[in-house]
Amino acid sequence: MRGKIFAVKPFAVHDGNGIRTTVFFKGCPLRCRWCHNPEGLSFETQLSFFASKCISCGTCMDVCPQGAVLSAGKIDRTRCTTCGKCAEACPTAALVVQGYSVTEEMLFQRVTKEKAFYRDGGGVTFSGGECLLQSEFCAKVLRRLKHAGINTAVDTCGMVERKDLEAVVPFTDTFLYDLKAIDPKVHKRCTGVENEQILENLTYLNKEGANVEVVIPLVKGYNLGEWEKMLVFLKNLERIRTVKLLKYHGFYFSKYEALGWKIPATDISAPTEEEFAAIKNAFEREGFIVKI
Amino acid sequence: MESFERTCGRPLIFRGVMGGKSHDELVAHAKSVGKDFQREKATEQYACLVSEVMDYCAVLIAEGDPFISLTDGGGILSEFSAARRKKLEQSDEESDEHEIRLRRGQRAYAFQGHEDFGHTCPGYERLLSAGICGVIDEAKALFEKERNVPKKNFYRLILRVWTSARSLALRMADAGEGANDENLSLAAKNLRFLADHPPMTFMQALQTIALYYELQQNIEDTPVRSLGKLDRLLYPFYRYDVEKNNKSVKDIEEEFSYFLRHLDSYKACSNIPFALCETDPSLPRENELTRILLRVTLRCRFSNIKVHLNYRPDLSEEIVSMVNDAIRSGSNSVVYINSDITVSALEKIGIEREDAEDFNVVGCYEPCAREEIPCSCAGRLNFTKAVELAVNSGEDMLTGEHYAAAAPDCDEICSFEEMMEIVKAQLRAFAEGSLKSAKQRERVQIYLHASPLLSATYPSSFYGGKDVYADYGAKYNNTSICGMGIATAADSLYAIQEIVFRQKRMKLSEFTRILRKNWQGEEPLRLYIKNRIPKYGNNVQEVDAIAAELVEYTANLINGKPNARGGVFRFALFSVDSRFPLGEHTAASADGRFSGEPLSKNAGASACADRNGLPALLLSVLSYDHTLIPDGMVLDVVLHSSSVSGEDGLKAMNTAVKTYLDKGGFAVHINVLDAELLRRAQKHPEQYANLQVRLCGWNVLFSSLSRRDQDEFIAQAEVAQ
Ligand code: SF4
Ligand code: SF4
Repeated sequence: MRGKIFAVKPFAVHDGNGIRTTVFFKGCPLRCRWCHNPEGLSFETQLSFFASKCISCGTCMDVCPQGAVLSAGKIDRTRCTTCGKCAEACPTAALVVQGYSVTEEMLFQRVTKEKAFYRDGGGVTFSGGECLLQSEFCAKVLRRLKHAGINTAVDTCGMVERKDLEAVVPFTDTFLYDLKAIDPKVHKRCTGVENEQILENLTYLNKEGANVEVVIPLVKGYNLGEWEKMLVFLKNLERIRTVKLLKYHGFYFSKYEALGWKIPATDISAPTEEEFAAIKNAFEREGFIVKI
Repeated sequence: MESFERTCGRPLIFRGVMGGKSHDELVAHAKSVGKDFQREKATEQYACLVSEVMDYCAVLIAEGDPFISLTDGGGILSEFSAARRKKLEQSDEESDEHEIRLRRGQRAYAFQGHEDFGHTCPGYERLLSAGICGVIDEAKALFEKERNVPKKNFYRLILRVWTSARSLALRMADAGEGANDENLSLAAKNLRFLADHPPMTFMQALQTIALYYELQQNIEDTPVRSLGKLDRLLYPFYRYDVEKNNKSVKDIEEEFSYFLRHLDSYKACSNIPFALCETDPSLPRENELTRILLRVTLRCRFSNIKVHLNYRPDLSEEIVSMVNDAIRSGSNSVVYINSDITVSALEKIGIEREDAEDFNVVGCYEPCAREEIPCSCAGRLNFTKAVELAVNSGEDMLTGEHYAAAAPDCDEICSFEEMMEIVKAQLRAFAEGSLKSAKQRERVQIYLHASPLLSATYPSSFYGGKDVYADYGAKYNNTSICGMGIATAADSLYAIQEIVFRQKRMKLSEFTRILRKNWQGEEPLRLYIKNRIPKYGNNVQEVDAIAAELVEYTANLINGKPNARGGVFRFALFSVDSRFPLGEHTAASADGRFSGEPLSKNAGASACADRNGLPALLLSVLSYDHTLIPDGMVLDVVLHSSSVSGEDGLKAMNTAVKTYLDKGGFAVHINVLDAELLRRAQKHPEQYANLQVRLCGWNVLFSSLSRRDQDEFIAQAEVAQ
């Protein structure tokens, strides 16, 4: 069986405990307005072109079997089959293929390379995109990791079928569960979809007694007004005690441009220090452990 | 005493008091004595000069300083050695074919040998237990008893020099008493006491160390490159003060902060290091004093002070946390040294276990066993140059000369394995060249230098009646050769393997032509290699294996080979600031480096080539056996401040350090940098006057670096991001 990922990032120290290696899976059902990893949205393989790195050497034109490179780095995406020949030959990595398929064995070998550093609570985190869109593959690798004594975490947006969660629950030490809004309309405005399934799945994980850390991004102009409702909702999930508040910061426009996409709306900003502190305090007053 | 926070912030201002002769008169005198050289050992003249300088130099004191140790006697003996060296060079002009090749190799920076009197850790145990007066008494007794003429002479000279040291201490006391300053009077009182007794109190022990430092480092001109394991050394004096003088921890902290400020005012080149934590595995890692001294040092943040933190797996996590927390907030004066690895490495070159277990690190990274003179920077060898010669039929691309092993024409090399064998043949020739050059220098060192102060602190030398340098009197008289540019060499070989033998993009001869032309007209290929071909430092097994093969092969060519002083050679793996001159003399390399660019730093990856996270870099460096590197190696790690922020970040830093050391890493030093901050500091140096970074093996103020070095740090910080 194969899975499709777009990056493996070692030495991730801020997502979960200890030193971790994070695997980014391709494909996501949500379209968050503030997405930092646009290359993870589509399940399809894509070609990114980072103009600032290009030295106009023309190698890509020479190697493309489809004649899809019109001029240095300029790609006719309707002709491109994302075969990756140009990216392989590009001397500066200005061209990058986003997405490649891996076997269980390949991924297992890759993430266990740094195993020595996973002591003190560290391990492997599956993220994305939405890793649980490939839950069967994830479950197989997670199971092997567990057997090898490695701590596992799954970072999910929750917009998946119940069976996808069920598949990984036995092999997941920690769920990092993203929560963006309670009001379905607000959720839709933020992410393009409503959130019924997300809230249900979170309730399910709570009932199952899974170890869950709820990750709440705070984005002014989008979901800042939702925090009190989220607090109320989480208070009713008696087993969930840890939240991580993420302050939205900065956009990686170049990643969008590289995919040949329009730059998304920029009516987005971070909460002020005071707003952030007030929210943190409110959660703490209700007995939550708040990570930032 | 005032609060030590205030002490740290105020620089000392020195003024000179009394001196029989002017500095210039003493310099002129030393020069003229040096010139009269008739191929006799330096011992007699050297000791007499040292003693004269002590008798006539001026004493420097600073208001509010409870220590007195500085003089204007520095730099005088070096004039003597320089004058003698000049004379020597005029006299040996013999040059056969071997000699010519040797000189060519040295000029090309392929291999070199030097004399090294600069890396010592005096026997502080002896110094502190006997005191100056104790050394004098013992020397007197031995002098009277001794029948052997050279030995009797040795004791006569020791007696003369140490008696001058005692008089100097008394002159310092006079200067302090005349200054009408409470702290200086305290120093004077201690010095007067020390003239006739060994130290009893904490302050007296510190005064002894400071005074001795000045005498050996500046007057005798034998650089002191460690103050020893201060927590162990100072412990009895601390206990004495607590028990007999009712001193509190706060008092001790203040006293130590005054001591650090005093030392910092020396502005010694490449720092004043001391060690903390026990190296002997059978003892506990720390005593009551360890954290006190560490805390004060981290808080005071003097850029001239450096700590070697001796690590073993049983070191408390709290200490590691304390150090890492300080490092990430910009106080990066601590290097981790792995005791167990050091001890095994030293044992492998024949040092007895007990002596190995009492090692100190002298200078940047070089372990020095008890009773050892390691001459830790006596020679160097250029890994990258070996690859250059191997792809160019044994000819230096820049000088056009042949000085190492013969090598076949490029087109005759059919496989990568053959390629490696040819590189090894060059390395054999380089190792031979560096050992030979170093031995030549060792044979002349007896004419240039002697060490009547240092020799008296080494029991082997003192009781054996032999000078550590002029008579090779230490128990272990070893010499070290340093391999440089390892990552550049490994990356170059891997690039050749990939481009020539695997992808078969071009023949080796064509690749060589490109390198000879310094990549002219080949920028896309150069960038492709630089950016796309895997590099050492990313946990890519195939590249790391090349580095490991080169390191282990070369270590075996050096380690344990006899030197000219009855000792053995020791291998090191660091390139510190030598990577600049070596780089300037090394042609373009196959890893994408231009001719003249610096070689890779220490045991680390080529500049900005480690892009796969810290664990990957550490695992690459662990691909070879560090116990084969008795003269030390270090890895400089650059982390971006955001990656180690918060509790998570600190924990990750601790885990990374411990994992690396537990898996056999010899030493690691961490810089936590923020490219934005560095850029601001580059623009407004006045606002970031005390921002420290670690340059090669020592700390420097960022503002004091050249533009080139500053840019390099900024680039590294960007990669770390
Ligand atoms: S190969 Fe890369 S650097 Fe060269 S023109 Fe194409 S995108 Fe630009
Ligand atoms: S990915 Fe393949 S088809 Fe697409 S532009 Fe590159 S070489 Fe051409």
